[in-house]
Amino acid sequence: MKNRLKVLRAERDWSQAELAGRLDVSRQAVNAIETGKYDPSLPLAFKIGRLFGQPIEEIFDDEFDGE
Amino acid sequence: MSDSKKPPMSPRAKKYWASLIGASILGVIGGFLTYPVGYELGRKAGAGEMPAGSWFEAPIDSTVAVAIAVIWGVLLPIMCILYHRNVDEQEENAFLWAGLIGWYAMIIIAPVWWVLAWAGIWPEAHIMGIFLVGMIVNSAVFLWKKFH
Repeated sequence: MKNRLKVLRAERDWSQAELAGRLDVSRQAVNAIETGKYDPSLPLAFKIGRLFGQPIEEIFDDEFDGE
Repeated sequence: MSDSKKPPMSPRAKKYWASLIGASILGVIGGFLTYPVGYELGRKAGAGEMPAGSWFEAPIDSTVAVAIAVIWGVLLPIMCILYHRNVDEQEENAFLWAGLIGWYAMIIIAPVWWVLAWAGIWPEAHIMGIFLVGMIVNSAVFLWKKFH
């Protein structure tokens, strides 16, 4: 799943390790989410949304076209 | 504005690392007990010498064998419970895939080896050999899913 995690992280000048610490996951988890290799669980997605102050759908794109 | 201060390690992360370090220490102790301690005690007690090319059939002291069984059968599962209660979800996902593929490796290899050995085509199936293959496949999949 595409997402804006890397952009949001860069805007705050956080490293992957820093973001990982704030989300209480490993750096590898942050990297896997950013590169789209791993889709976070709903609780983690909500946590990410709260951390960046944005709704989940503003961060993650499921490429749903409405049909 | 950047806030570059990395948060301190969470209680979950501390327990996670404790489980990994604990399991590693148990592994080192188990390995050391297996060889050289267990083997040397067994050999000195007259249990025989290690057959050439067959490490798994080396003699071992029975007390040491019980200690190894307790480490692997009691203490390691406790570390595993601690690990799974505190691992993050991406690593748990990698672990689940590794477990699944490792399981498939064993349930495919074991009967194939067994039936070919039954027919006299291959040497007799070796339980630790099958275990080793399962562990190698498990580890390879885990590392791929975790770090790739």
